[in-house]
Amino acid sequence: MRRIILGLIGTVLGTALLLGLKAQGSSVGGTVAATGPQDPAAGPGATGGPPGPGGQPGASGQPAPGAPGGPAPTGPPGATTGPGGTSPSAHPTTTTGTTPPTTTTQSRTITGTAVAARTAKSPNCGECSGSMQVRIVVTGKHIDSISTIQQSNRPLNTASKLTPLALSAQSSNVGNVSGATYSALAWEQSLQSAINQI
Amino acid sequence: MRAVGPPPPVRRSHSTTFGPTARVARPQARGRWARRWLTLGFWAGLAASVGIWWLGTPQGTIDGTGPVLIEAARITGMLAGYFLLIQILLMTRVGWLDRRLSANDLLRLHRDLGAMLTILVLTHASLFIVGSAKYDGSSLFAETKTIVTGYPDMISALVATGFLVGVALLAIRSVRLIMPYELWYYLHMTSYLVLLLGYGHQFAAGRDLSQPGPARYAWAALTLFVVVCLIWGRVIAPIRLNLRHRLRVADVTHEGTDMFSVYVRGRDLHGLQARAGQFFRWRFMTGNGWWQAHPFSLSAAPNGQWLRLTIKAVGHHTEQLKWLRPGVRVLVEGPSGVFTADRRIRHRALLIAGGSGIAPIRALLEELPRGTIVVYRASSPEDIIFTDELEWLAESRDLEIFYVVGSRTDPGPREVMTPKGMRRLVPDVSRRDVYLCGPPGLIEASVGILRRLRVPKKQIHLDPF
Repeated sequence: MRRIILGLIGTVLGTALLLGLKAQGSSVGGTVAATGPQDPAAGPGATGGPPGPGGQPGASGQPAPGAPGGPAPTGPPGATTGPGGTSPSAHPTTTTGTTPPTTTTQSRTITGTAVAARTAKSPNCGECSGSMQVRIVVTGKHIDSISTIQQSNRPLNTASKLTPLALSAQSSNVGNVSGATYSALAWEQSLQSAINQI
Repeated sequence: MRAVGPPPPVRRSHSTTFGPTARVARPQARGRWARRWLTLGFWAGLAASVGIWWLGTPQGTIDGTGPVLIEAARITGMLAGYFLLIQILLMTRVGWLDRRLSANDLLRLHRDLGAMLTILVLTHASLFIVGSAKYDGSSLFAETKTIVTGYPDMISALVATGFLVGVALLAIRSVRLIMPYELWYYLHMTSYLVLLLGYGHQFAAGRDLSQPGPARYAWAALTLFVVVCLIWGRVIAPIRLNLRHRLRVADVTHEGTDMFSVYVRGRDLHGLQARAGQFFRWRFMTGNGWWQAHPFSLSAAPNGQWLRLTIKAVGHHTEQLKWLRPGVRVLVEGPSGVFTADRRIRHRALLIAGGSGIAPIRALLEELPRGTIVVYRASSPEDIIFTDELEWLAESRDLEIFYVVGSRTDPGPREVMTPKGMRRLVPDVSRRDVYLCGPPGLIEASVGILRRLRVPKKQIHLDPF
């Protein structure tokens, strides 16, 4: 009995720890700044909430994804490449919303991690992958476009449904709209892994 | 037989030593390393199972309540899958496990892992349903329906969960005890269906296992390994063993009230490589008893001529065995168990037997050195068996035997079964290995006494029944 209780406590703590560690490093709570470059002093994440290890979408303007047990108060590694950081001149983009910027000199293409989505076992889809992988084009911290370079075999329209939503929200956190939990979650995770690299 | 009977305990001392006492090196405590490797393997496998999830989830992408619950469901799912495989592996009776872990360890591990497994599976399912519902913004009922009908192999996984919960509920002691053992046993066997029905959804719907890649192949290899061990341990090894040794009942002798011994002969008994203290599962091929196998310890060290088991008639099956005729074919599985002389880490030993627990103790005596002490606990003088053999062993091997006879409340047992009483009988008890075989009550009480006498845990060897 004692061993069972210890085992269960260990499992709960271990799972929480793993989830906490995995949740770390998300750039700005799944939301990139929607309004171009920020005041450099504010640092990344000034507008987005930090993701706690528990994953609760925080709302305050804390400077980093610190939260309880957070690794470092200096922010994610990708933060240094942001505007105001290493860019030679503060790019005065003032575009808002989803309007693509006119200059392309600052545009970067970032590929997200491929995330396994759903079974590849499909009789009429021998070649197709069960993974979701997106590639984004960003200017500064703004996502200009999202292209899905790998998608799970079904349902096929998950990515096309989620893309406009993610673009307008400038976030991976758009929830599931297509009723396909697996592939939607995988798509969002791949997008988030790309956003984390901004 | 002056010594038998109240007022106990009676001391039977043989201080005569002839010739030079052979200097025996301190025993090596076999199996210590094997245990460590097995423990290490268990934890490595556990880490690898969680590692599969870790590698399949990109860093920093778990965001929102739904995804957090879904990822937690994936972790618990991997753990549950791993525990299920280990749980079955423990019960495969493959020699490399059965000869390294004691039946007692296996049983306790099986019970604890079983409880953990059931809780993990239920947690896995609930977390996934709640997480998906949260993520989709749909109701729990609708989400359950979507998952069960829309995901591959999920219906059989649901059935497997039902079986698992059923088996777990039946395994609760108070429930188990109200059913006939055989019925319970066959109901418990349905747990193999859990593996059969549950593995499909792991490979078809599991995010990390459904993709071609190292995780999928490693997991498939582990499953295959367990199945091969199962077939080997439960089918092939017993068939080979019995084809080779062709055991038959040679004789049945009366030992005492309700106690009798069965002598078994066969071919090449040395090749069995059994040791005193080990047990076999015996299946006597009689008209009405062939379908059940029961574990009994050897009650004499194997000698190449015959094997002996000593049985107390307590139930219908054991009552029937009393009437075994010579020539009846016997099928065995084993030898199993680590209740053997080579497990000790001290030179000297103390053996404590309760009731019919004397059987393996009696066998062990032949392999333990001079100066061994035996405490033989019995509830009445009529229950004491092997008196002649014990007398003879005491003479020839310089043993001390204490008969502690009477009910628990009688003055004799009450005096001995205390730390003080035990120390009086065995002053150097903390420097001995202690072998215990008997009913759970006696084992529990004795372990309590021994621990208070500061006998290290690794010096205590148990064989409860």
